[in-house]
Amino acid sequence: MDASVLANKLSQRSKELYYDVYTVFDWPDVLPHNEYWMSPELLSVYGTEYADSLNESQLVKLSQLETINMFSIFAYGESDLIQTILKNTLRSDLSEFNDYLSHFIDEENKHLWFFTEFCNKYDNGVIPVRNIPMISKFTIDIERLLSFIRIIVFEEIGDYYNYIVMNDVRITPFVREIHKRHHMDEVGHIAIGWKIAEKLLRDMRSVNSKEITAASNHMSNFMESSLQSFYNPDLYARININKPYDLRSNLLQHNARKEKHENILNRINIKLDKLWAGAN
Amino acid sequence: MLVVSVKIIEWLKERKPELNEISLDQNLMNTGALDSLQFVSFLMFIEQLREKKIPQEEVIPDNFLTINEIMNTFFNIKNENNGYLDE
Repeated sequence: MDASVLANKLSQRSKELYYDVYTVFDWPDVLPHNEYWMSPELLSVYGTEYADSLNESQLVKLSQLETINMFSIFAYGESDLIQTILKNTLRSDLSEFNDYLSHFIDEENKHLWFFTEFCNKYDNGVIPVRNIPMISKFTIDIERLLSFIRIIVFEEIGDYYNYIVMNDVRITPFVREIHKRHHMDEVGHIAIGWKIAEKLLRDMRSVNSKEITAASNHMSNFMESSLQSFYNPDLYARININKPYDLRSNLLQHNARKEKHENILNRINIKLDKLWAGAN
Repeated sequence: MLVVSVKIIEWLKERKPELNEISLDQNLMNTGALDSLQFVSFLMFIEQLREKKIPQEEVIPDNFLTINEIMNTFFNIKNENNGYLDE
């Protein structure tokens, strides 16, 4: 579908589905502490002997903590994402997307609010993301393109989890509702995000194959580092694992976890390959 | 027994085999020895070595500029030769 037609359709959809984030959810005072908040198959220990060594109560607790960790990562991600979109929303080369980008910012701001509220209400607040800013090694144009691709990929990874949890009847209903709301908005953001990335790449005057390879490698590293952020030693310590840093290292080297990462990233890699091919 | 600095250099070189030499006073960020996508794992590696979490307020670029700075800030090691860790 043509990019501007898609943007118009998505704007119309956002207007029809518009919601007040402060009233759309009926927030329970507490969530059940004996129920999974995340599908067991999505836990960072799944498929390994380390999962087998944990009892049911530890696994349930880990599912709750990893939900808080994931929503914290989402909240920080939304914040970065809003800043990127704001920097670009009035640029003339993206004028065909302007109207929808306003909805995009509005919806992402709502996500930022409800993920933060969830972490505040059901744990000790948002878990700080422990990164520091570093200067990009890419040209301004490529960095601008990458900032959009990182957004889309971040949303694609998030949506992998959203889709599974929202359809999993074993999960506490309120948690499923949060994932479903996020998913409904993300579908549009992901669709337009790839169109914007295609356009930015197409419009680049001078980009060579070496730069594309470097950008592609950067995205592979970004995806791996995004998935690694789901392995949080502080959470392992909270379920009484003695050597939480060792567990994290062992899990990241485990073949079952590497396979899971490939599985999560498979669909995204196909889209990325298609995008980079368009640059040649 | 292995010196802290040796362990840090090993970690960095394992992830960037193209790096030949990493000196103790080399700026890790400007020279590409450490990039933003590796940083969280690197931070956790340092915490694992010191067996103690680094407080959030100490996670600032200045504390991670060089290996000497990291040893000084997080291991209280002024001189590399004193930087032995029990295996």
